[in-house]
Amino acid sequence: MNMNSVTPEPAGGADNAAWTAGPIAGGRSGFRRAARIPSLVAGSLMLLLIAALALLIPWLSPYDPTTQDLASFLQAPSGSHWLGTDQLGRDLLTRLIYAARTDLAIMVLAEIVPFCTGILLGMLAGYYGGWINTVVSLLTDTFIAFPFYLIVIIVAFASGAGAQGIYITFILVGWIVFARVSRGLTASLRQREWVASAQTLGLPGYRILLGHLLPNILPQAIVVLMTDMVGVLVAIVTLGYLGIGIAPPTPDWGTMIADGQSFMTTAWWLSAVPGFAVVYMGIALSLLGDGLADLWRRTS
Amino acid sequence: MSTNLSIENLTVRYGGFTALGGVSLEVPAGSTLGLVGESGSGKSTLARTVAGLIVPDAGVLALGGQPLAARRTRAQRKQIQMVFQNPDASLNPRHSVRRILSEALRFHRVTTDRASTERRCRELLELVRLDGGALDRYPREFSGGQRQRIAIARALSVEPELLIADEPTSALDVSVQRSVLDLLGNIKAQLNLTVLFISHDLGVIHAVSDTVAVMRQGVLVETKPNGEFFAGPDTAYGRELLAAVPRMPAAAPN
Amino acid sequence: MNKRRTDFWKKEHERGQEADERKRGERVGEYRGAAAGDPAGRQAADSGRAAPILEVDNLSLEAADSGAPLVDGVRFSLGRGESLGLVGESGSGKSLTLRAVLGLLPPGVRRAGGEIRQSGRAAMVFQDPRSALDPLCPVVKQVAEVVRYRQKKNRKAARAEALHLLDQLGLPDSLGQEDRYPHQLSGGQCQRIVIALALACRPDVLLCDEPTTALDVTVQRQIVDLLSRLQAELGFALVFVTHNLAVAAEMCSRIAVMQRGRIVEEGPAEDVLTRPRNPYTQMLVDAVLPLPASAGESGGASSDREKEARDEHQFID
Repeated sequence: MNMNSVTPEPAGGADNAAWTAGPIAGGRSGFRRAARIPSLVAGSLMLLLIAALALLIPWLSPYDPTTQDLASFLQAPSGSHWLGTDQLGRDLLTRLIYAARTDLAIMVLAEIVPFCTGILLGMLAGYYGGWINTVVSLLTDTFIAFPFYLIVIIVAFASGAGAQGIYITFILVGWIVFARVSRGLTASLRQREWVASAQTLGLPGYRILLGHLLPNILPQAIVVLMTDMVGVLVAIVTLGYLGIGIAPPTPDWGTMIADGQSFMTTAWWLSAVPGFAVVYMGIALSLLGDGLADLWRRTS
Repeated sequence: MSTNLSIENLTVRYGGFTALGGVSLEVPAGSTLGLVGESGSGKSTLARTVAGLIVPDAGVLALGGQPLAARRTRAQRKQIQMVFQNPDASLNPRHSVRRILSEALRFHRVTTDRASTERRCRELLELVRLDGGALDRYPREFSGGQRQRIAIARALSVEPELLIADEPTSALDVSVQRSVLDLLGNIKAQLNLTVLFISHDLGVIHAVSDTVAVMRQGVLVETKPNGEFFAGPDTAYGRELLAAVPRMPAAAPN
Repeated sequence: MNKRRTDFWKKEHERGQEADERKRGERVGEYRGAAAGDPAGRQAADSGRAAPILEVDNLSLEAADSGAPLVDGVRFSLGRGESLGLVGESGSGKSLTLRAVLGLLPPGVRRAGGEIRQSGRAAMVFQDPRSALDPLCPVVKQVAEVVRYRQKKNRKAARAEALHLLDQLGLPDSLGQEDRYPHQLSGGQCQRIVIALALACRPDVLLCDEPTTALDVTVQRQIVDLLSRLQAELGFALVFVTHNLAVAAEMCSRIAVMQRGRIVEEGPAEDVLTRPRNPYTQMLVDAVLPLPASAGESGGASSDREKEARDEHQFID
């Protein structure tokens, strides 16, 4: 073999790459790439808007969400009450945004534990296989066959009204979605040669799982998180609607929808507006999830 | 430093399927064994078993006279490194080249502080003829051949004694293949490595190996020194393989 | 192999082509004129053959979003029974050229200029035989379906024709009794099925995109021999895309070397590979790792027949 000649090699760009992904423009910052994905931009703007409103509402609104003003009950939208007032004379818009505070905070908090445990269990099952895989698969299959709302309602009744019912339920069953995703991904990534090479280098399992596999699983899991959060929000609202969720007078979209129902014929917006708020959140999170998936697909 | 590898009666079964049926091989210190065979012949299984990724059902592996147990020690892991076939899949897409090269350095305490790790990473890149600027970049920014060089640098980071190359150039263009083979040859001589080189391409095997071993359906069919094998294999299968290689038209006499 | 049946099939094949040819009589006149200027056309005239079946004239392809050129001014022409090897490294545009001929440009690529004139049917053989076959449909059924729609036959005749084709391609007769799914066949057998699918269209041009790259060297040998034999028997023209110069040399009478979307050298296979004029071609030729000239000469070829027999009757389950 001729040891001295090193032929200059042409830069990459395989035939396939040229037409599956399109030529990837190098050097463009992540931000500019993200700005080119409409769903990502729209979803983030929608979320930013509601987050800003929820944070700033004490300073934006002259009204208190819980103080009753029975003299001005069930007013139609006007200059002083943009979305009118409810049956107890409280400003609807103010309550709507305070409700976003409660509901969105619970939504995020309820997902933290299941997100972490789900990914961890899924990765262990996917990487090591064996008994842990059997147990995780058994649990996921069982819980999937079980009606979710039955669990939510039972736990909510057992734990009393309030957010804790949601938290407990999601700690119990919320991880399953993430475990399924991360188990599948881990099992397929495990076949990659970079995992084999990490093993050959003698790196221990925890380093391969956390240092190598996790960064590759996280993006997909976050996309799933976005869609799953919509489910959590709907669960919170449903419990509120059924009267076993957030206790009044704390504003919550579910109880607002339930309260407004009696006045459907005279003040339909009392129920409709919080309903729209839920739909708005659903669309925002879905767009964001879609956009993120798109972004990560393009970069890798 | 160089060390010989001896493989004795190595057997690997998957369920009822015998992937390796009692393979025995000797790779002398500092030599290159070219292992050739078609898909399903068990050559990759042999490589992965030697690398410690598959635990054999029977047989003994020894490196430099020291037997390798099913659970290898950290030091034993360090001795045997591997370069894989697919440059698209051999580097973690979310790790920078610095992290790819330094991870094992730090873990095996080849280097102990940040400055020496950095220095060693640059040396490794130099060894595979890449420039230091590559450290902060990610695998997708490199061509197939460059990625394979990075993979070679990673394998060399822990100063192994045996290097297993499993079809390291099969996914590369011919011109790039040549440069990667040249590089491997240089490094082997420079570091005095023992090499187990696997390929289905007889041209590559001819170019790199001292001894040729032919595998078929999990069994070693024949082992012969390079020159003798290409002059005339002992077995019908060896001849069949050789005859199947498409030939270039003979060059016109100058 | 049933010789008589093969001949019959061939005649029928040619009858179909004659009908097509009458329709395209006028256009053929244009080709001669157009071809006169370029080297490929001259060469066609030299060999005294009929009008080209496929003519690619100044074909340019570009990326749809950035407008970056992918294939730039590629021209070649091909007459009946001729074979052209398109060789080059990845990214040279050889596969894209082939896809453009078939009219199957991948998304994100558009034609920027040039013309493809074709006076007959084209069919394609892909690199990965397994992904080119429907995994949920038994293979004889797949072939029969193509025969049925492309040759307008009834179900029964189509099946008979399909079995005949498979027999011609050296696949075992047992497929007639018991149909198999692609995963039950070996890679080489799958590639034979893919070739059968292509031939079921009765192509005038067979386009092959690295048909042997995914195969083992002994199977590659069988497929190369098979394609050469079929080409001699059926007389289709062949465009063979490969990165393997030696395979191209064995399959093709002419070779065009592509680099970065352009043809940098074209000519008779032996000339191009033994006396390359272009430095890139020279580099490609030099990069081929040769076997010793005497390697394996002793008795290797004699086992060809028994080899093929083995492949024919061995299923991988």
